[in-house]
Amino acid sequence: MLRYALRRTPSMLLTLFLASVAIFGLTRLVPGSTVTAIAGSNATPATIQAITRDLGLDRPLPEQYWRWLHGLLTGDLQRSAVLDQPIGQLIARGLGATVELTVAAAVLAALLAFALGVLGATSRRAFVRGAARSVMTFALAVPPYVSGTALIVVFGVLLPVFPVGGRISPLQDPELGWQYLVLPALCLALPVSAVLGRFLADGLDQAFTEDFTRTATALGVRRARLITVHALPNALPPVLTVAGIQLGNLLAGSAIVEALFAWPGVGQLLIQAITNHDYLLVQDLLLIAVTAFLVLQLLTDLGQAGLDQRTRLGGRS
Amino acid sequence: MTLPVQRKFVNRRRVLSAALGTGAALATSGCRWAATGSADAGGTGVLRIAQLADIAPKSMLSQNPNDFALTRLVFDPLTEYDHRTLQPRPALATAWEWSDAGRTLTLQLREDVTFHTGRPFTAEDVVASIHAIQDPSRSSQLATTAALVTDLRTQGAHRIALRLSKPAGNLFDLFELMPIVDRETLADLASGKQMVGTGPFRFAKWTPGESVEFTRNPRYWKAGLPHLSGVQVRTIPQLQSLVASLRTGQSHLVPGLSPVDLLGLAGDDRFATTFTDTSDNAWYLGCNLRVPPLDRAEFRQALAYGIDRARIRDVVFRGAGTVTSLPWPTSSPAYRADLAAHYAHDPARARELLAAAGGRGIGLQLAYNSSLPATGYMAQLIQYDLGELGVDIELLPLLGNDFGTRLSSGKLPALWLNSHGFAQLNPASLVTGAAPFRYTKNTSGFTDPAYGAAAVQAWTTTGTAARQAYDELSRILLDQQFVISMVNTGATMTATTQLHGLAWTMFDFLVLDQARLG
Repeated sequence: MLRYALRRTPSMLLTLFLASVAIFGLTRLVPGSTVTAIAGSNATPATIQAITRDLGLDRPLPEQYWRWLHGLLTGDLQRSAVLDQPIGQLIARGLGATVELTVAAAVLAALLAFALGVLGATSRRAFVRGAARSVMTFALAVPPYVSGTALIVVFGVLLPVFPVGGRISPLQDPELGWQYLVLPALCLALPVSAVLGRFLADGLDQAFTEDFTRTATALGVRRARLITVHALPNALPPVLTVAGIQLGNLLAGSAIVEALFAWPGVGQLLIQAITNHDYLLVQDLLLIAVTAFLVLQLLTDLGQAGLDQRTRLGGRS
Repeated sequence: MTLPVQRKFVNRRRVLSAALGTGAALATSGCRWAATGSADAGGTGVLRIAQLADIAPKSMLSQNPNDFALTRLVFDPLTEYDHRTLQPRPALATAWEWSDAGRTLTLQLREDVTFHTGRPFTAEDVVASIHAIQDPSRSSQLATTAALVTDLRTQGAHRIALRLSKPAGNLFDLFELMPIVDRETLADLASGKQMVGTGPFRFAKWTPGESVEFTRNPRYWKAGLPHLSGVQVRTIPQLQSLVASLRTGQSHLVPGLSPVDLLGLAGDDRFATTFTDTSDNAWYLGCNLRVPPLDRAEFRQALAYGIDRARIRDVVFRGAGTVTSLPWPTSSPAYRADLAAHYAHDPARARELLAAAGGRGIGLQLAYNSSLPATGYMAQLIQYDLGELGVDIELLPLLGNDFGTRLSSGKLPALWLNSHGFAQLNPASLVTGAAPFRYTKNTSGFTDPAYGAAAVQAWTTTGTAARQAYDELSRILLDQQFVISMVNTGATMTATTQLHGLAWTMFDFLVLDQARLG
């Protein structure tokens, strides 16, 4: 396994290098300028020249690229040109908020999926089964931008139960922190819970048609036990596989939700950096995202090999 | 065979019991609720302000609109304008005296002022503040005026003489806009690590992308002020969420939105929207004189006659504002009602001029900042008006940064839509500092020795000579129309009716000295 991981390293590094070139080039192609974000549109040529020089943007592009790369290789993410803050600190703070939101959304998604999936497959009333499946279809069809706005209107404006934006860390103030977390986490969780719920409901449906459940029913096993002991263990494995993929979707979808609920995570940081043309911050964030996906991909391959010994990582058949 | 009775794992009674139990637990625990405002100190005097963009400490000295909510909280100016007379009033400077034929100004400074660090305020801090404004990398919009100060001589701890390279009629604009910073912590201002001034509120903490917090300055030199115990400025980048934060009581004040952004609050008597009396949002149509036929004055005049300014004011600004053909607001010493009404909507006259200039049937691009919803509406109205004249307008929406970059580099297309400030101050600041009107290197590419001479005269003279220069500038602006002025409005301040004592400077910096909640 270690050998496989080491063998993958050169191709991962090559991918990272190519990604860094593409990211650097693309940020420079986007119309606009960091200098405008700092100096404003009313700046005189002397001001523009002074700031351009201060930021090193007057240097040739290969030199700028090398300075960025050299910083990354030596562990120096440098400072944000617009915010004048260490990029490492900005990303660490944003990442903490994003992870908090993602974890909360994942937990909510799991709970909702379980409830909707089980109800959608096992309720004795056709109306309840239909309603649960309709809720899942609706949650899947409505984009987070719309569901988030609806949540704000209902739970923030009409029934002022939860705050509609901002964040207080649950670690600092648990009593308030969870209230700020509820609406963005729910908004992020809804489509994921719909996907997982549908997989679970279909898995349970399938399990109920199997011989062992029919036998258990004939033997008088209680329905609750039938579901929890016999059907669920058979329905859950494919759901867990899908949940792994959906975790990536949660991370990707958090950018929109963060903007909607003023949640100060990396998604909002990235949008702010793009708006301001904060080149280094955008480059670092995008490269970190690429790195995270590469590492996740590697871990998935290793995990699959661990779970299924028939898979020979990179071996000859 | 009898099947065993199956008991439901989850039944209605259990669900209700669990729900009631959870509710009772929350109620008895006295849980603080963030949504009702009991969660923080809002009710005890912390004013919560929300805005779309984060603050920008690095641009603090360059009059960045993102900092308008906090500049005057932390810092004090040397003098402040009376909004009605545009005469300077004492702030950190208590008295001043001109000498040497208008080339030297001596300021007497307050002696009872300390910075938030506890250090006494002295003339050396004025020196440091002016030097900071003069630094091109600080990007102050009044750097041109600050550059006239060639010598700064302190005369004791609280007196300073400013020697100018030539007389400057707009020097008090510089004093109005320039925050007096603590020279010992100035280096940390750009990073937002420290913001130390003499103002009514002390900087507490800035979390980028999230919020910035201030606490009451107990040693403020205005006795008994401020009333508020603190101020929080939150960043909510999404417009609907920003407005919702106001409606839910999470925010008390949202400055700077356009009336079309605030339609969701119409009819809600818990909030009031006030337009500042500064009229510093002057909307104009810029003309690129490098693009034919905009190089012909008749063509530009035709466009000026063809635009229905009153409709723009009524539709986009809900009737708030003044239609005008010149940049000056009614409070400006350069304002003249007869000249401001020069380009009344007159499509027939516009068609005559277009025919004379050979501009009918021509197609032109009109760029605007799509990040501001109001400009999109305005651009469509202009497109319609000019289309009626036979000028085909293609709209070019640009993101804010791109628009700004093209504006500062002179790379906008034939026409662009934007607003400018500065006209509410001394008229000289407009023609020396504002990019669309600068007499050298303006955005339109307009050059005229007579315009330059009038601008310099307006800048370096006072009294009758200055007023003559203002009239000459107005005459040239009306005749040349490289900037087609349309509507002047103030900035909006939308706040809960619980907020009292809200004020602002002539540049719309928020002033909360007298503000109270409840």
